[in-house]
Amino acid sequence: MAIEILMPALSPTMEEGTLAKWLVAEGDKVSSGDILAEIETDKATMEFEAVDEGIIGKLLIAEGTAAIAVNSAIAILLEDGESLSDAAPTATPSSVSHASLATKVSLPVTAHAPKQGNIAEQDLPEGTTFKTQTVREAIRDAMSEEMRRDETVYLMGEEVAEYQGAYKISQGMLDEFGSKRVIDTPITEHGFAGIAVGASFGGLKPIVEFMTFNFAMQAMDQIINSAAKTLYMSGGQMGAPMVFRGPNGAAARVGAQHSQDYAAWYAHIPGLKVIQPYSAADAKGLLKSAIRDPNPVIFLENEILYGQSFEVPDLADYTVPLGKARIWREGNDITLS
Amino acid sequence: MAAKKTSKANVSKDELMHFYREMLLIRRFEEKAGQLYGMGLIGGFCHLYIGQEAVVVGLEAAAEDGDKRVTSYRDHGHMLACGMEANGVMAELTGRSGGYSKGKGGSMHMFSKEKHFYGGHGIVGAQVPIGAGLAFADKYLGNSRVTFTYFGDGAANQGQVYETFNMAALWDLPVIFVIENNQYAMGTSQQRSTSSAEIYERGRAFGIPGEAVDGMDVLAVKAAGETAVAHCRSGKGPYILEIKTYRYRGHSMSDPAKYRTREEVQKVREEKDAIEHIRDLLLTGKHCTEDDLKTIDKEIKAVVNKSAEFAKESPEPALEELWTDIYARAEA
Ligand SMILES: Cc1ncc(C[n+]2csc(CCOP(=O)(O)OP(=O)(O)O)c2C)c(N)n1
Ligand SMILES: [Mg+2]
Repeated sequence: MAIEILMPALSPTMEEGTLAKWLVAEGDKVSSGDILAEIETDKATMEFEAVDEGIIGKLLIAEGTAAIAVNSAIAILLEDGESLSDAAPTATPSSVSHASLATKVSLPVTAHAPKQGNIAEQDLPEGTTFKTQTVREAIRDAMSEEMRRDETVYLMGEEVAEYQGAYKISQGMLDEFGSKRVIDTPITEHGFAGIAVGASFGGLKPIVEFMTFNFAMQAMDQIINSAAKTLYMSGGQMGAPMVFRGPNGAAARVGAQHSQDYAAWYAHIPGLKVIQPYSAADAKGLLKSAIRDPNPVIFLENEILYGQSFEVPDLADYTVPLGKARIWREGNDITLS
Repeated sequence: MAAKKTSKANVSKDELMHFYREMLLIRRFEEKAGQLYGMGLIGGFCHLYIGQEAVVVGLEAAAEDGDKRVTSYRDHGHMLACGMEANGVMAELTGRSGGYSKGKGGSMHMFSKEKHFYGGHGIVGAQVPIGAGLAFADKYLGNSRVTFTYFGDGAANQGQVYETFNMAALWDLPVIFVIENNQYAMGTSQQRSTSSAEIYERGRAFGIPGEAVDGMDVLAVKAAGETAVAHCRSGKGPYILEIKTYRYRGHSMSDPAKYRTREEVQKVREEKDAIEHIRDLLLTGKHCTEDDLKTIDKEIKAVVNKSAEFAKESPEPALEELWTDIYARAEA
């Protein structure tokens, strides 16, 4: 019985991916565990292994094809002695074979939400053009632009450098800025948050990436008691110009310990500024402002949004002021902002 | 407590006089603070440094201009020793606007950019990564400063201390971890809380060198400080000094002191006192007379009394100060 090999979901938020490279050819015999292909997800390039054994009957998708939906057929695997013509053109779904059975995550947010808020209201220069960017790219660009602009800005966190970011946010940054300014830390949130606070007292402007904000619970004391309160306790003499950023809130099917939304918690702390952008343009403009802000800023991202694309003003220095809500849709009776 | 005290060696008269003055200033200042507390002029927490003076005075003698320091809530001595004004410190204790934090920090929270003093932290152990972070900044900026990061024997059991040891060693940060081991964390003796007899030996797990130092001997502290500073400044990474000291007073102001005997305290005061040690060296070495020392005592008393007057007269902060300095204004 021929088996359809389906595009696998290789991350919790993956909806589609690129078939970067086939590592088998038609006619090859494969056994369980053999590597079939390299697949590029929204987070990384990963190897995709065979589950069943058989002979590659047909490669349905050419190498390099992008935007292949999760669960669509990418190859046909034949049993010994079976020929391609024996295989029914529509293999039964019961014989699916892929690494992880992913239910397509439907994202209501993308279905109805506006892709471009009322950006004109911010008085963009006349003739401003836009480029399409994901939230992920916008965050990276914001950090890189600020690091080019100010030598004292640096990025630290788990897997931010060599691994290129657990969520691929800091992709390419190690190459550009080197290991002095893009720093892999051990898994020691309380410790590195405290070191970053000290570095901010000492004249630097750290960007601390938490792999997710769930893990910042370990660092809560340094964020609140040291970063947020020092300005007041020192009578205005010194504070912590720094950004704590990372994905926050619900992600896709990762369980209660990885899904907490901390927006309200941090918003209750005097001395912290809390930002939670939606679009790529806001993520970029607000993160740039957050890095320049002389206060500790909590910058809450969302994993499900990372791969979503938006129109971003194509300007050399696009910033969005902190503390001003964007109106995405005006209401008839009431507008929430 | 560690071995016999340094008897004399090649210590100049000037240096001995300097140590005597500095330590005496801290002691008299703290005694005055205790008095003001009794009068209700200082409230809340107030952790006195009496007995531990040689630690900070010895290490400050090993520091250079621009080196940084950060410590816990038991911070008055550190501030005086790094050159912050007695007036500003005392006025902060009384919560007045003339204090270093405009009366908004109190006994535990003072800072001085000018003197490179980075607090004054009330959460046990929190200053340890902060100190390493200051050292991180110095290394990043490429200057050759070192940071003295002070913490207690009790704080030495906090997890973040070891998180910091790991990163400080990994990244060769120029930070000196100074464990002020006064043998008690509030009412808990080191024996009852700490699995290792020598706390500095914990550094070995991270490859951080360290040593125990007699903290009642300011000359020994200075010498150890110089070793540590040379190590850090030459780019070899962190160093640990476990300085064995003793606090004569209670943990804070309302301490029933049931965890140790009067005799224990009395014995240290009589046999190990750091100020008496220097006083002896000055007199037996014929560097000065009793009368000379009395003159110094008087001068210091005058400085301390003046600070108390200043702290009483300085106005309380305006009510509006409750909601200032919560957010810094961005520069235009
Ligand atoms: C995280 C935390 N836990 C508990 C306390 C309460 N507390 C304040 S001081 C102290 C004892 C600390 O002792 P040690 O580190 O030896 O310093 P010392 O007071 O002897 O200078 C305790 C338990 C605190 N401030 N912070
Ligand atoms: Mg102690």
